[in-house]
Amino acid sequence: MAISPELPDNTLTMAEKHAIPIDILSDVTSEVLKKYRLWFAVPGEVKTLYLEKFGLNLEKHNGAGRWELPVPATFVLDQDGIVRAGEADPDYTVRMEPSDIVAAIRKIAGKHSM
Amino acid sequence: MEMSLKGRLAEFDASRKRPPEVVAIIRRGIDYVMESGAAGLRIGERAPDFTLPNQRGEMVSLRDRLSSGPVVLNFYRGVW
Repeated sequence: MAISPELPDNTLTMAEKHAIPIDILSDVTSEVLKKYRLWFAVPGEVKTLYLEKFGLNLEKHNGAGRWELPVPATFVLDQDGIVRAGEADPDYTVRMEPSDIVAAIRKIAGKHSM
Repeated sequence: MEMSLKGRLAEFDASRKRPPEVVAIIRRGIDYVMESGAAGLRIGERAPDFTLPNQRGEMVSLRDRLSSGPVVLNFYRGVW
């Protein structure tokens, strides 16, 4: 499952939406971002940089007044909903290694089959 | 061996060759988030349940998805 603060994407056709094999979820109130302790308000100088240098207006994607984002994060949950592996890095250019995600799932699956 | 995702992302970031004043603003932004304490769930913690709409407008709950197996949750900033 993937979660962002963005409004639902209206650029995809229904066929495209059905072709995506995972859930792309919209947290339009940031309630879940906050529950997972990932939410932050974009600081003023970063907002100015995005607007003036990158041509990026977050309100167009997230809705009016929503200059807010999550720390990018990945959590691998076992069937009881317990976090067994994960990463959340304030440096938004860093992501959890896909091979570590696969290894964590395998470990959980192994435990359940025993 | 294929390069790791972390390696490829670091390489891409370096290739953007951003001016030092832009890098400095981004760096201060990252420090701000770090100090805000937005560090995510810890290993061993129970993930809070939620219900959110997916790309087809269907309401999806974490609890429901967990009933069919382990779940990988990915939080991302946006498609931009």
